[in-house]
Amino acid sequence: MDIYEVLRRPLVTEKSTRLSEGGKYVFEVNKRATKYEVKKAVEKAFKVGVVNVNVVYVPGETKKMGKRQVTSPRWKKAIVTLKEGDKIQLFEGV
Amino acid sequence: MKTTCEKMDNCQLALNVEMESGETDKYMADALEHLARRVTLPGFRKGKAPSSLVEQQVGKQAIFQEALEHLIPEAYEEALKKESIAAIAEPKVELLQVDPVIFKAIVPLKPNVTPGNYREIKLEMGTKEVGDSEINQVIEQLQMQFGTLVPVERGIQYGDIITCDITAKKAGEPMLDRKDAAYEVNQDSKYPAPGFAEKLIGLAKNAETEFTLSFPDDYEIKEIAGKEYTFTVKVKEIKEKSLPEVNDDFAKNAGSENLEVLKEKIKAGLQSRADESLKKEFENKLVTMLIEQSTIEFPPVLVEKEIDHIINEEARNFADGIKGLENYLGNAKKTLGQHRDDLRPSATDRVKAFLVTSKIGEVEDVKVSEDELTEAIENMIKGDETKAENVRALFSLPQPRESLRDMMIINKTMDLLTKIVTEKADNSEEGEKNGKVTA
Repeated sequence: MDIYEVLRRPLVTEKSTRLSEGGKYVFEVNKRATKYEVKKAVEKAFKVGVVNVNVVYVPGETKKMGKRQVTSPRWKKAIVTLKEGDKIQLFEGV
Repeated sequence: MKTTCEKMDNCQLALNVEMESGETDKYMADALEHLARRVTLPGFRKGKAPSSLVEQQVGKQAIFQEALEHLIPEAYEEALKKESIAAIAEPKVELLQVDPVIFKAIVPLKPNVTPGNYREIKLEMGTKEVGDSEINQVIEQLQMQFGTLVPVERGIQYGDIITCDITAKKAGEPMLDRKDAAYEVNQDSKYPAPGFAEKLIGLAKNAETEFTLSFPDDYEIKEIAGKEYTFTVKVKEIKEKSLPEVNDDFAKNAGSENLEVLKEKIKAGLQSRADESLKKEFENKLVTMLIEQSTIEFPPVLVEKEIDHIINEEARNFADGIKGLENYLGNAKKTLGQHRDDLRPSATDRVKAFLVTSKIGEVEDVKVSEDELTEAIENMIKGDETKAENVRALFSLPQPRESLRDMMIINKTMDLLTKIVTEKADNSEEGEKNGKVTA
């Protein structure tokens, strides 16, 4: 997979802001990306060292649209732990 | 902070305040924190977003606006203290520059009043005797009030009250159709058409008549002016007004022991009303003269405040307050702004009158003691015991108490002035002495 296709967007939420204080940053990533690919992508994009990557699937939400039940697609969330002292200006583009 | 002042006309002062950049930082930080507590960003619950994010989101401009809200009043207060200015009302603030902040405040100052030589004014209060003809007029009105309607079996005469069916048509098209209408046969009545009453004279009960009347070209209702209508009237009942005789019984009905007493009462009532209006006229004249001979300088805010006051008073007459007033003005094709302009001249006069009299009160050292205040409050209560507690409670608060005192001082000053001015007209030396004694 191309390394530029891995990271989708940074997640800026209350929880992710809290985590960033401990050097952990959260991204939405390509569903087919592996932990290793996320690590490489983050290191390349932000010029930081990555210690650990955790990945979870976020289940899609079900909504009723008229008579049908519609489920939005699930997506992959990656929680990246950086080397101590490294930082990402995550909020730049927000 | 740098401040400069500049005197302006009408007791106003232009105060220029220039803030140094360091002084505003604290306000900016406060404003940001304040905003952060209100803002909802995606991904965060309300007020939970970190301030650095909020700053990016809402922009520096908005924070600045927020900061100014606190910054300007506080800076203004400080500037007043620094320049030791006593302002009497809110200033008009104009922001000239941001970063660093420079603003200009137009500060209203205490009015400057120099009363003229009011002891020289000579003015006499007019007098008026209530004559018999006026008393008789009141008695006639009373007669009408106590009069009864008696059905009669004769032709209609002027002054009768009849019950009838009225229709008015023009080429079959109805304009008016009333059943059992009560109609006062009055020679001058223009309703429903001029000359209508005349056509009814002499008709008996149950009679029916038909006649044509044309409305004059200048009739008030445009649609029917200049047109001709056929009226059909069916008389159902004829009643005559029967007036009671003016005697002691009549007086008893009107709530007096006998006719003499009733007349006395009417006379007293009329007399006090006449005196009251004379007094008012006199005071108005006096105040106008006082204003003319005095130099009065005052900031325009006072007039605006007076207008606000008048408008509030007017709005109180409407069930839905200021909105009702606006509606009412809308019907008269006026906006609230125009209404304000209309009020401006009279409001200016009122402000001037107030300023002059209170100044004279000050010069003459008119004072109202605590005892007098309490007495006035108790007098107010006398009429209505049920509200006694409320009234007492209200006037034990400092602000209403002081405004009542101000009002009483004005009244007292007015009395004093009346004394000075009228006694002068009789005897110049006596008047001056007496004037001082009452002060």
